[in-house]
Amino acid sequence: MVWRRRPAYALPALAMVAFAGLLTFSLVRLIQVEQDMRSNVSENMLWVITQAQVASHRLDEEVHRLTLGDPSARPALRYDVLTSRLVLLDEGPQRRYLAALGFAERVDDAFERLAAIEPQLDAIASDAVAVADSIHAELKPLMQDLNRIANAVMVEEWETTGERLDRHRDSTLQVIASVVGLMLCGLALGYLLISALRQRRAAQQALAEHRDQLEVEVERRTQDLEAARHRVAAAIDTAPDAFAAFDTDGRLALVNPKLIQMLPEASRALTLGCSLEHALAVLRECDDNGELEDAANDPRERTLRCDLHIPELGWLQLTMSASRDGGHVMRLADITPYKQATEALQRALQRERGVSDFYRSFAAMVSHQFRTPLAVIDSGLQRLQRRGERLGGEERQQRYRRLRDAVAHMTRLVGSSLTAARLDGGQIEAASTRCDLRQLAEQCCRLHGEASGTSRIHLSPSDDAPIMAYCDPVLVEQILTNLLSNALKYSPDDSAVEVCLGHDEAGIYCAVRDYGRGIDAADQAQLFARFFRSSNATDQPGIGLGLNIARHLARIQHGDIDVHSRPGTGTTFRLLLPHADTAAIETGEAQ
Amino acid sequence: MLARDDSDITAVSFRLRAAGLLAGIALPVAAAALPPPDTTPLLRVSGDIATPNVGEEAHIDRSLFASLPRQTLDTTTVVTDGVSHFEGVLMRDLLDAVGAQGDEVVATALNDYIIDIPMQDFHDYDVLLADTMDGETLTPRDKGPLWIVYPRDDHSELQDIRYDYRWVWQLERLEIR
Repeated sequence: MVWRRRPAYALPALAMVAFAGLLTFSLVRLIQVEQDMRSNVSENMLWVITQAQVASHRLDEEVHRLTLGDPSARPALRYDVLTSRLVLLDEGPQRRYLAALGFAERVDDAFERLAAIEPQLDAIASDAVAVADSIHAELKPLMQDLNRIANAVMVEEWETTGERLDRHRDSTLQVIASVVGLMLCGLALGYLLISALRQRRAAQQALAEHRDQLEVEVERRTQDLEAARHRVAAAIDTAPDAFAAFDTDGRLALVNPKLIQMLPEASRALTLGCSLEHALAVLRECDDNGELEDAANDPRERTLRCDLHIPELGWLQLTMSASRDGGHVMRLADITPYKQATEALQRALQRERGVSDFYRSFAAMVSHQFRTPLAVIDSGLQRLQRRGERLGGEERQQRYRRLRDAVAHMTRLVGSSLTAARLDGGQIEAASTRCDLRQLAEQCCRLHGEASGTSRIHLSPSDDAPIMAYCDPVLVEQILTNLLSNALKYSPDDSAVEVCLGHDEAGIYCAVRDYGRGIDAADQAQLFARFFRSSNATDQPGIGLGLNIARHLARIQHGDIDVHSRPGTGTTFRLLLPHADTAAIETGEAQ
Repeated sequence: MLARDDSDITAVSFRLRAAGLLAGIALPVAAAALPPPDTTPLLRVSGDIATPNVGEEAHIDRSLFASLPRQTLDTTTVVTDGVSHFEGVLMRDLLDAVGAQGDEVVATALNDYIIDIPMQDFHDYDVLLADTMDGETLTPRDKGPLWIVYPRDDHSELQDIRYDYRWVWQLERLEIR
């Protein structure tokens, strides 16, 4: 990785360094050429020499012109000009140039000749040929020297120029080579740039392809997810149970049609986005089972499973569980048929248990209660057998009566035991209906009075309006018979037994009051227990089943029996029964 | 370049710019009447001038030359070694004194050297008309009486052969055109 990356940077860097180096070299060379071309000291020398030559010839000419009589000729001015020319040749750069060519002495000679000419200038006049010749004799070698110098300078300049051209050509060739190098560097850089661009484009293409693939993949996955979602949604929609899904924030996200179908009223309050707590509160509102009340104060913490009873719909089982992502799923299943089946089974089992209890109870009562009267009958019969012959008719009749009493007692005992056993086994059911308790009480009192041959029973007078109770008249008659017989039995023969009817908020009652010995407070609590006999009632025959049965019968009619008693003063038993109207409404029974 | 002759040099005329306009602006300020020359003139100015004193020419003698503002200039030259000290007057001042109006000045030397100089040069640079060099009065036997000296060291663009030929020495005449 590293060794491959290095040339990628090294090559362009090398190319750029070479580029800069070659460029610098070319520029330096070009600047050198430019400066070389500007230094032109030598180029001017030929002109300077030539001008000196011209000045010398002009001096010679003017001298001769004056000799010939030309008044405008001014040899002095020409002498000055020639002098100035030679002074120029003798100055710094010019002097050094000529010295290098070996002509320094010639310049000095020239000044000497000029010095020789100067004194003769004033002597020049018309026809002064000798002076002119003398001056010419001085000027001629000077002119020849200048001519020679001019030749040498010309050759020197051409040589110098030739050398300079050589240098310039070399420099130019070097610059050309550098430019070629620059071009190669440029090409290399260009190639590198293009290849880098191509690589980048290839990378971009690869990236784009990868992105496209990803997009296709994402598309495919999305479709799969969508299909899965549709399947789940279809499954939920067609499920026999009601579903509601809550998102991670506890907001209702999904409800299937079954929920709306199942709970049309409640589902109206369940709008999408409502909270899980709100949904549970709505369900709690519908439910009258109360199981949901107890469950899950913080439903997000745990799963939930409870049964709801929705009036007019039946039983629903609510199952709520947390999904993996933190949301919740709620399921409501209609379990009414299962509940009904369970209840039916429960009842069947109850009945079976009742039958079993009946037999067990009856067997227990028979074994426990029947021995004594059977023993009485048996001993009575033994005595009759042994001593029957010797007994008088009266006495025998009395014994027969006693035996018959004992048999009658047993018969009652069997009846009562059967009733008690039936009650224990749940075999007796109340066929409650609306009936006038007054009528029932009147009939009972009359019949009992006739049967016992007394007129001690007094039904309290009141208005003739019927007192409608919801009860089974047969059972009520049985209860009242028991209460009346007890009242007669446990009160003096001359005391009255009062029966009065009435009603209060709790319901309807029929009170049977006697003025007998009363019941101890300690015994009152156990008075309705089976086979219990009050301590002050042992003188009277009884088996301790009557009140127990009476209360049981009252209770299966949704009524009761209570007692108020003061020893020595009397006792009041009250049969309480539900009011016909309220009971009818509660049980939903139509008259 | 190699074998230059006179016509190449004299025919050249460079830098013909809008020199006349600037010269015209300067004119009214310095155009005072020139006194007639007392001695042999150093320089004769002809052509388009406002204040001639001899015929149509202006003759500048030493006293008149001395009356113009003196200037000095230190510079190297292409024909001498080292820096030389020149004294004289600015070409600009002299041309103003004679009321010169034109685009170019034709300078003629004692040795018949003739050069056209654009008027603009004298406004762009402090070109000196020197009569002394290193404290010595210039004579016709050297480069006198007058030498046109450019401030060569002060302006790099003046270090050019196209300016070097305008350094006219042994100056005798100026013609304003």
